[in-house]
Amino acid sequence: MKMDSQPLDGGITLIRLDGRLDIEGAETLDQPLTYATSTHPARIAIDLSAVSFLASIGIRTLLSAARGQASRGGKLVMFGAQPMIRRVLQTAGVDQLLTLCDDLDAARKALAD
Amino acid sequence: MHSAHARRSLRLINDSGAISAASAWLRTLGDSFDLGSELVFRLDLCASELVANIVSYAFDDEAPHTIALDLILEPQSVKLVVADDGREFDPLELPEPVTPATLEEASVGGLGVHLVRQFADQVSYERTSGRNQLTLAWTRPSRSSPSGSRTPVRRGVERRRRQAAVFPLIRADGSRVGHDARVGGERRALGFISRLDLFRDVPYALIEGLLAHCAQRDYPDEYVVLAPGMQNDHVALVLAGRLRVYLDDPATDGQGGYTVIGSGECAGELSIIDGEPASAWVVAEPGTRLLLIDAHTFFSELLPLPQVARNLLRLMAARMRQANHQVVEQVRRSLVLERLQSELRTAQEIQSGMLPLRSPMFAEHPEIECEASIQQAREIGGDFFDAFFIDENRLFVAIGDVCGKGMPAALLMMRTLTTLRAEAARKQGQKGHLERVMERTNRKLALNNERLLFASLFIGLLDTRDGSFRYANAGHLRPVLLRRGDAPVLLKVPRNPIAGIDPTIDYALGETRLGSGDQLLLYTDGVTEALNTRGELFGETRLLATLTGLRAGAAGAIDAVREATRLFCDGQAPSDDVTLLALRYIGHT
Repeated sequence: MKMDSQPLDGGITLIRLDGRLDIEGAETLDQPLTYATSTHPARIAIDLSAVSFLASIGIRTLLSAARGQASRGGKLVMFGAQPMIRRVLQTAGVDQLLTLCDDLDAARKALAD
Repeated sequence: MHSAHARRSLRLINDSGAISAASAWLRTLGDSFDLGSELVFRLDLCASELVANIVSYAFDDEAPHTIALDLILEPQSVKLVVADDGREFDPLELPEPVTPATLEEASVGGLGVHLVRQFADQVSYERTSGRNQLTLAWTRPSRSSPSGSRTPVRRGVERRRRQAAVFPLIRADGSRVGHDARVGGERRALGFISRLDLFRDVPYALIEGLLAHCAQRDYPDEYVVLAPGMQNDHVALVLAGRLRVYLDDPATDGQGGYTVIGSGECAGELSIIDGEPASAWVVAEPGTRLLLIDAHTFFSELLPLPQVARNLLRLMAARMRQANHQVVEQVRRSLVLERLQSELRTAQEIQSGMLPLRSPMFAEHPEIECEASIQQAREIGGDFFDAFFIDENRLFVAIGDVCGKGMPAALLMMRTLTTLRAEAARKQGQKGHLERVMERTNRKLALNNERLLFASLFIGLLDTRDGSFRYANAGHLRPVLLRRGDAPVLLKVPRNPIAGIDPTIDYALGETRLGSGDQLLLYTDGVTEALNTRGELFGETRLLATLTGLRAGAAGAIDAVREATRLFCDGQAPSDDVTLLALRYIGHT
């Protein structure tokens, strides 16, 4: 699991996740993602398009990122999830808790709201 | 590869590494069997969730437990069976999780099971003999179906690279986990297994879990791992050290020799395969460590792996060639041994044939009685005797014993005998003949005697005209002199060293005169050193006692001594040659 982030115009931070969000991916991501998402208020767009696998432990990782940012008063959205990833999120019933957008443009709009 | 029917199994230990191992295994199989990325995702997800649940919740103790995964491929369906021996848990009875209303309320408890139920087409649960068994089923995608749906998820190149590298893993802190260092008594660092011949070309992930729960055992030096007739239900894989395989009992130190099973090879597979007891002796060398794979695991989980089956055939072919070679070598050796034994028998016959074994020896010389007897020990020995007239009136007698046994002794004995005969038969003047015979014989034996073989020797010359007897002794036992009417005594002999060592010795002679009816008995140490069952020697005292008051002639004296030693030994076979020569002077009447 790899993670990188870059600032986008409009004060948005783009975080790209790449790899499997399984037990090892979740462990790898735990600290850096928490740091990136939950230490200061921000507007964050997480790119899930390169996430190839998601298990319940990875859902927890994504949820805690979203929850962390919410507690800071900022906003966090996700976009670009592959169909099976989206299906897992839907099945878990968290698609309504997380803001899932189709692409970056939709994510920008969601963050601008 | 696309097989209509297949079954693959993975056995894991219940630690956190099991989740990744299960996942890697399924992805490898998914690729091999071309199951398509969506189905692989579902399999991967379900296995990950189930194994994670089992690892976290199924067991109350700290002991290692096995989690069994079986993937069953049928033409229309794919089944994944996950079994464990943990506490009873039917995931189908778990209520549907309530969808959390807000982010704050959201938790992932029970989510795994929910995902499994949703991502498998069918789920069934069974609790049998203390085991949870969950069977998940899917419809198998047809090969020709367009792969459009899998394209977005498939990251084939990356995934293939990742799946091969179960190790090293990257920890959360970025450090590398170079090998599987999971704790627990049953957790083995088995990375090297893939270097073993049996597992050549087998992906480590496929066998790792399976072998992790097989027992490893260290063996003391010379421990008999298998013996003929022993029921065997394991294949033993040599991790360290060596095993020696004997067809004969190694304790008998037989000529059969042995073959070696080295590190990376296996033993016991033959008796596992045919179900017969072991047929050979398998003995551990120092530092031997074996991995014991039970028969069930071997057949149901290892052998179905095509690489393992091929490697096993390869090992067995090599074993068979080696066995053939061993048999040929054994036959060759036994032929050589047979020939040697036959040559020894011939040598013994030639040896015996050289001795004047006839009775009476000199029927044409009524003025003397001469009888001899030799009882050869089982091993070819070195006793000899001789008696012949060197001219009309003079009888040459000799008795001796060359050192050692076997072929060297036999050869030296023949050499001594032929030398003596040649020297004794030389045309010589009356005076000094016997000294020269002894001195020349000694010199000939001593020259070129690099192996320091020597002989004890008593020779004598009887002049049948007057009974005068001149004799020389080279380290031999003193003959018994039986004068008519007197008690038997040992003949006084000059002290001289044994023959064959020092070529420069001058031998002193002894001389006596035999009266009519006087008798000499020459013998070898087989007589006086005959042992009875109590470990006592027959000895000179018993020999003299046996001959005391004896009135019989030469043949009678020999019979009396033989009978006495036979009784003394109580039927035990003599360990050395027993040789007797009796010479009785009658004289001209």
